[in-house]
Amino acid sequence: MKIKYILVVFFLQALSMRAYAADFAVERELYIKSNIDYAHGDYGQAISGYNEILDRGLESGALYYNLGNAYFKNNDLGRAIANYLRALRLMPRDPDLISNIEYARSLVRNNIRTRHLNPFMSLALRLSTRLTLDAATYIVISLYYLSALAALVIIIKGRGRGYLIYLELLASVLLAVFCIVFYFTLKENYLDKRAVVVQEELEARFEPFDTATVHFLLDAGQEVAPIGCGNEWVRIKRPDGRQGWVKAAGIEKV
Amino acid sequence: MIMMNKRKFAILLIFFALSRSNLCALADDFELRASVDSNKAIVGSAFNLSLTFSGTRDLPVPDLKRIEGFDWRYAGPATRISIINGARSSSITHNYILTPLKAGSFAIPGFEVEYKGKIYISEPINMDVSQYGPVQESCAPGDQGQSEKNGFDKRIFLILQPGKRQVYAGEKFPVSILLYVNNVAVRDIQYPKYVHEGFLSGKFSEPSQYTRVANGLNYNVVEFNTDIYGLYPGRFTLGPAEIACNLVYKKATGRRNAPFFGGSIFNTDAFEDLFGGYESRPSSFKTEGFDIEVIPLPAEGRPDGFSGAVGRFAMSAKVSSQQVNAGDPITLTVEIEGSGNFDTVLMPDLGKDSGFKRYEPEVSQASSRKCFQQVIIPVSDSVKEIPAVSFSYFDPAVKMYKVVTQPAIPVEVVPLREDPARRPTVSSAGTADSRDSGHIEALGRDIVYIKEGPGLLRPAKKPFCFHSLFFAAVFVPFILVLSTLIIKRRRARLDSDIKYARKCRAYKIALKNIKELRNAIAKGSRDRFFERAIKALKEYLGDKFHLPAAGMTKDIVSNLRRDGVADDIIKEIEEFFNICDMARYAPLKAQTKEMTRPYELFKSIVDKLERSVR
Repeated sequence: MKIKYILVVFFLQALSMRAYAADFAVERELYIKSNIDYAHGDYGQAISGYNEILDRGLESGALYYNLGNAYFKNNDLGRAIANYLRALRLMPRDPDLISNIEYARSLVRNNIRTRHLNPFMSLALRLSTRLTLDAATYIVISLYYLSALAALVIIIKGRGRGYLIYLELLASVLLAVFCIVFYFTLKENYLDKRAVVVQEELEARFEPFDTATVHFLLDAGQEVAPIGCGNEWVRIKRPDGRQGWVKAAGIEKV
Repeated sequence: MIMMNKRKFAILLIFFALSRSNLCALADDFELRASVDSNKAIVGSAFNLSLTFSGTRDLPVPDLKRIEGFDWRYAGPATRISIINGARSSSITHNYILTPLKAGSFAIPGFEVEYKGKIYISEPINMDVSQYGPVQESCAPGDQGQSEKNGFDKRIFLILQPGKRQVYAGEKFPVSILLYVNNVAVRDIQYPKYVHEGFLSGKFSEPSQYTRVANGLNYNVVEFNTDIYGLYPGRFTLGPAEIACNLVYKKATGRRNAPFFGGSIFNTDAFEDLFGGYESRPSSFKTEGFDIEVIPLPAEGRPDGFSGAVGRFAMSAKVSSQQVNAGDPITLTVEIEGSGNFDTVLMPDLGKDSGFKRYEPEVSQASSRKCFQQVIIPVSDSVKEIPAVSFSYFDPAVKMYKVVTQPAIPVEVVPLREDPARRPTVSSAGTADSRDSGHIEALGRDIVYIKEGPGLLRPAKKPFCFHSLFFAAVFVPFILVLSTLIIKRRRARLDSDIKYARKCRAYKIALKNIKELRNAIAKGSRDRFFERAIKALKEYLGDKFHLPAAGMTKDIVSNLRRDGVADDIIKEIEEFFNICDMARYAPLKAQTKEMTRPYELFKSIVDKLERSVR
């Protein structure tokens, strides 16, 4: 009876996946068409095609990656980096993406990237950049359940056996480590608001007015943190801590 | 004992031999010098004559015999030993006090000294002896007329000495600037400056100081040395040179002749020194210039690849490894040593067809050597050797060009296995032509091409950690573990704490009894009801207060006050017992109303005790 039930569930699951894949046939066709446009050097058309898929509410790492490439070839360094950063959330270990983002960042003028962490935190950060947020979440949940299960067995059995204690300790330590990794992944991808400058020589002013004094200039591709919003203006912070107000159209949130 | 004596004898022999060798060495350096404090003197005013014999300390007092115009007496000897860098030197100076007897110009003749069968003769000294007026020992340098009058320009002067008057373009030659000082206090001597148009000059080395006799006077000499070389052919003037220093001289005060101080103790030199009798005044000294002819290098015999190096050089070359894998770098180190103008010494070129990619060499230079370290990479595994390198220079001593050649160095290049996956990609900037020509390879960089497939296309959604299911997934195990822990601990207490266990079960049993009592009322079973009721209350109170149930009677109920039971509850318990006793021992017709009161009392007692007593 139980086996029959499991088989039915799997069958329904397979059906739902088939339907899920079949629904995106149009978008897949659009994707391939955009790739052809890209290959022919029609980067504007390719950008439109990729953006149309995004407008239909779908996303994937490859889609953001190709869109970043198309913007790059179209000499729009800021939007290229913004899309690479979006792709990085979905496929953080992709070597092509890492190579492209490094190269694109190297072309940004006056790029400021400062971060000082102790060795443990930098290790956690490095681990976090290798995982998607969902992957980090599943790892944390799995370790959490393993730890809880071991704790339950120890509680029920009274005095726990040796291997159970070790299992509990191991699961707890790994859980603590991956909680930090999870935190960094969450912080990098969602908690820390990020934006990329998409306009050449964007002026950051002391106040959100056109007549306010210019504090500093930002170049296309520079990464900033939006920390406040005004009417048509966004307050941003550079990695070195300097803050200023920029026109919202001059940056693209990641 | 014999062995000891032999050893001592050997040590003595070595010591003796060393002593003899030193003496032999010194024997070649014998020299006799005669000098005076000043070659200007006054009749009757004594001055010092020093006769210095260097090379030994054993010279007996020479007899000066008669010196025309002077009376003399021997003042005593002074000996000196110095050891510099292990080289020992010694000298003896015999001092004489000479007193001029009459005015005029005299020549103190050269003195003859015989030492070890050899005659040594000193240079004669010219003396001017005046009849009147004291010689002003110190004077202000600014008083030019006065200084010249007293021969100040002979007491301190500057000399510029170029090493050569005719040099080749690019030939390095020494230049010395010497400051001669005799009996003048000088301090704060600056480095000299000199005009050197048409020449490239180096920095002055640390000045050396020594004494030298010139014109019969003993001078302290400060010597500055540097090297210069002519930049291009022509006739150029080197100098004049100038040196700045501070001269120390006596203050010109009127105190000496003041009547108050005249002849008093305050007029002594000691007090002049103590109270600032001297002061310094900045001064400078100049030399004449010299014409130097810079001649061009001969065109004849000029080798190919001559870079303009002039001097005398030697070359050596070595490599970091003679066996490398194809594509691995080799460091070629070329060292050129010698004397000459190193600024024009360049790294010898391997040539375009050497079979190596060549990178810019690292250069390190010292005073007499220049070292080049060049990274080279074999362009193919067919390379068998690093070709011979040649370095050409012009030797001004023999007036001809010379070429030094370092022979070819064999190298073994181990070919790599063909692995297409590891073959480096070269962009349009690094074409095959540029690689073959041995130039530095420029690797291009660009973005990696787009991805063919869209990957996992899915609706854009929030990550799982923002989903309510995630929070439920986190919450459930937590609650499960916590509740299991509570239950486990409660069970453990129930097993170990009987009082607690009885208290816990009292209420449960009471509820069960209430249900049974209600059934008994419903059935009208009077006997069963009262029997059950009194048993139920006794059990409940026994469990609740951890007392034996059988001992719970109306008489000991008042003791429950000690356990915090209120008076109204105790009254209810007493009433309950009274009704039950009356009913049990005075049988009456069964009436529902009669059973209702103890039932209500039981419920009330349980309810109140559960609320008030924990």
